[in-house]
Amino acid sequence: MATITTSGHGEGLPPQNGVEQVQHPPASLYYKIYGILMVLLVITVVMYYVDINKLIHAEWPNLIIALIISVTKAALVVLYFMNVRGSTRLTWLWAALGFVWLLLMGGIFLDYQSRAWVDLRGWQ
Amino acid sequence: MSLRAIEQAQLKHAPSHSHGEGHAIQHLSHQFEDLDQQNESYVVGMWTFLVTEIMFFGALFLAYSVYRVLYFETYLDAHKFLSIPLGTVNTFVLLTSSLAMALGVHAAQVGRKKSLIGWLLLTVLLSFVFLGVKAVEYSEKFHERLYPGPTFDYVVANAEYASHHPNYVIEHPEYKDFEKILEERGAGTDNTAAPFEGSSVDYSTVNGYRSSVPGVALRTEDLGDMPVQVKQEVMSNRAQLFFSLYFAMTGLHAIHIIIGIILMLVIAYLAARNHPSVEDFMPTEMVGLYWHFVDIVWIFLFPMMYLIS
Amino acid sequence: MSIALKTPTVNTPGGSGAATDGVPAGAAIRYNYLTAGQTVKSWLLTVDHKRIAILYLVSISLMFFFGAAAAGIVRVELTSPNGQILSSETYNKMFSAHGILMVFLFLVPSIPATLGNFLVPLMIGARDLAFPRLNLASWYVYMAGGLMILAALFLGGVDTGWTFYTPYSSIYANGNVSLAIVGIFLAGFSSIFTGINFIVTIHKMRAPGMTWFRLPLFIWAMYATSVIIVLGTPVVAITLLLVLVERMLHLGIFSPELGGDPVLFQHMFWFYSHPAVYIMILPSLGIISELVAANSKKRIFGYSFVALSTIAIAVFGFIVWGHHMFVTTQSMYSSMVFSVISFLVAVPSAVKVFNWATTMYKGSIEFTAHFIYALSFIGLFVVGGLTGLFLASLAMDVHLTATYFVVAHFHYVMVGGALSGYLGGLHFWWPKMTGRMYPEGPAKLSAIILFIGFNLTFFPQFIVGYLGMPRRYHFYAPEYQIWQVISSMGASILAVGLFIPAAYLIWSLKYGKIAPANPWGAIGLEWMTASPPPTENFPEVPIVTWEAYEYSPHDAELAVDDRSDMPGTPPEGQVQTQTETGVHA
Repeated sequence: MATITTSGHGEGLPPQNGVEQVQHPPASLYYKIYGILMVLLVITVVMYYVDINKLIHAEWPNLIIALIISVTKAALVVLYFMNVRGSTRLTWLWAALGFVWLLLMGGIFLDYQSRAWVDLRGWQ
Repeated sequence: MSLRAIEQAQLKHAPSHSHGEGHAIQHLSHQFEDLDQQNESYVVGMWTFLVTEIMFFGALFLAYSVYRVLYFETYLDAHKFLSIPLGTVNTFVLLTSSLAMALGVHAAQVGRKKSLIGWLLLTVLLSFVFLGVKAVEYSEKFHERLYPGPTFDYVVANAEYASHHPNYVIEHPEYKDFEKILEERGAGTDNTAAPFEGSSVDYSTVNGYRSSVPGVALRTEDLGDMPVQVKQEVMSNRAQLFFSLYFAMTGLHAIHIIIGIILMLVIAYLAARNHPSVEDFMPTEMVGLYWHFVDIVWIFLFPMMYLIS
Repeated sequence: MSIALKTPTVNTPGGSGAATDGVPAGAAIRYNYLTAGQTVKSWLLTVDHKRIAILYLVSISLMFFFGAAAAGIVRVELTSPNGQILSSETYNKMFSAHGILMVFLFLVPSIPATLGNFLVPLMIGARDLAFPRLNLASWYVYMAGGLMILAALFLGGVDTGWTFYTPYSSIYANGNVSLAIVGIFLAGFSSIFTGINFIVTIHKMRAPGMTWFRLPLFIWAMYATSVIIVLGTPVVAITLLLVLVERMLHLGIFSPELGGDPVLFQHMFWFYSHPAVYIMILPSLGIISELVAANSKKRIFGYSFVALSTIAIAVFGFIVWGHHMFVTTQSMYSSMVFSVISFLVAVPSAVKVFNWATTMYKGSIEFTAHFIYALSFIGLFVVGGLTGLFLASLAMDVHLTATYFVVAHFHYVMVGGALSGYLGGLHFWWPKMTGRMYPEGPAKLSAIILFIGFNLTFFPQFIVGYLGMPRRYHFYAPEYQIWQVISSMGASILAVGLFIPAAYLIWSLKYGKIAPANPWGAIGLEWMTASPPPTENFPEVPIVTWEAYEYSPHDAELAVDDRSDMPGTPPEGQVQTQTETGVHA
């Protein structure tokens, strides 16, 4: 196999010389994140029983808060447990792409939300 | 998914590069120039695979959301059959298993093999707990006639629920007499087709009532002052839709858990046998990424299914 | 202007790095990826991307044959308006078989899995794809899926059409719908594996100096295709899986009886299947860029625009799925948005066509067979693309939807486009893949026959569709018969145009002239290694110091040369030290 001394292969990382490039986070970080996740889990369930919707007679707050908590939990898992935080920009790109693209698919709602706008009187 | 991880679990062709003190040994495959390139390739490759998983589950979540917006009233009513304590326990179990997995990957990275095997086995144990709880929930649903198909009977299920929950009877007096309803409807009545008159012709109208959303079947709130029987049937069908999604989503998630268990057991076995392919921490790290993804799916599934308000 | 091919130079054994003069062709056993192992096992367990490409080439050709046979039966049947040959049920199964085989087992994997697999590492200067074993796994998964689909079609058949629209597919259809869906699911996994492999390879395995804007346009096309595969395929996988669980486990998610919306199925189906059109056509667009540059001996005009238009098509392709559903209950407002975005796709497509035309302008054009394929591609793609605009306009679509106009439109894009590109590319890189030249005369002839046969087959379908004949009909009004007969006549010419290449390409494997490393005088890393390449592709990792398609005016004159002896040397340097072998008169 050819030995290569040139740099700039792929994304232009410096040549490998036996030094660890990826940063392994310490184990204590995982316990901290786990603690935060547990707190968020408790908040999620308590939120359900408190039911802000009924308290202030609104339709959306509970759902929105629940979604924000879920997204926060998912983000913590992605950034710390999956160590995207310590990864290269390329990994960031691919980690983000799926979630972003899913929003694009949300265009399906465009259809369902606007169906009722059509005046049906002539159609009947 | 498993193929990816298996491929990595087998990478052992090229000359090995010793990698400093206190670190795992890594092997370089013939197609790569150096370990940085190889490691990042694996991480990016795994994330690309997870992108496909995100789209895979995401499409299901989207279908769920569409029906939730259309038939919110039914969703609100149907979610009472899901046990929040069990769901919470399962969330706790799965988050803990994610922690164990993260610590296992950490052990692999610093080359502590015994600790790696320990964390992996703890993760496997926790995932079996998760599956056990899931099995209890599933069997309850089957028992309550809430599995979609010919045996699905939302009216009987509701009546049974009402017999345990006095508050529910106050809101829905029609479900008061469980014994009578059970006797009337019998066991295993075929309720799949044509639940109300005219339904086989046009699902968007019933006796002059028209769906408020074009192209979408009649919703309970469109029914106004229709007889309670019709409302019950419409609600029953929509609830069947809810439970179809429930079983599809949690079932698919459970299949992913089972695949994860197999992968973790393979890694633990190879590590115990001192197999050279797991001297490298990358296979473990890849399984870890997969496992955290399965966790993320549940993080969204739990509030969406169990905590509707 | 046309330059004839002269005596090829002796092939350089890969790895030695220097030309060995005086060895007659074929005298020594030439070391390359084809001779690296002769046993069946060495093929079935190979992790060499080039061998896997050959495995794919053989299996995809087989699937194409079955799909084409089904199309032949449909065309014979349609010569009569009374349905005299087949029963209506068999007819439905035939056009479904044609669609399923062609879309899922031929068009989607065709270029990425064969030419892409072969060329991506060669073009970027890598030894292999990033995950060779995953690559082999993808072929096995493809074969498993393919055999399941074939079994489903032969043992009872499927009559849903390739689109599997609910509720027909989920509640009413008999036959082997479930088995076919499992097969398609597996085929989808196979293309996901390929996509992941290409993405990581293109990101991480490029040779030193090979920056993004030095990549050949075929690589850009492969990258965009892979991104679409990765983002789209899982969606159709889950959608078809939901149909499967509805059939087998009673989970009725699209069932209208329960309040499920069949249009939701269409949303999810087309979220993949419209971008899938770009999975089929983008690789061809990449190939055509290569062919136009190599045959004009000019750098592609506006390289970066062509490269970015590839990405633009991929992104736009994802947000136009609703134009398949203008006549469903999709809301009118939604349709308007989808219609407008669909028009936007024409812009990057037109950028490509104009840039190809400008590249050819004042180029020193060589009318090789693959260039004829490239020209016919451009013509057919323009017709196919422009008729797509008719269909994207709301009012027009109400008249034309589900008629033969649609059939003609997507065949112009899929067959005229994707298949022409595939054949053109196959001819262009045939010497590289097999080490043998194809015979130029029959190749030119068949390219022209194919073009004529194609137009004769599908242009009448525009007319009969505009006149109002619906697609997928077994019995039809007699006034349409004349157009259907012309179309079937064209199909028989088309079949001849496909059989001739099959024959001479197989013939050339044994009797073709030995190919030099760079028979077309083209620029690109793949032409700098031997034909066929050695297993490790390059004796040592090349260092790229030149731009893509950096043809000097001198190159145009030295159209035929052999660069095999100097991998890794920039073209300018090579022109200086070039031996006089193979230079035309």
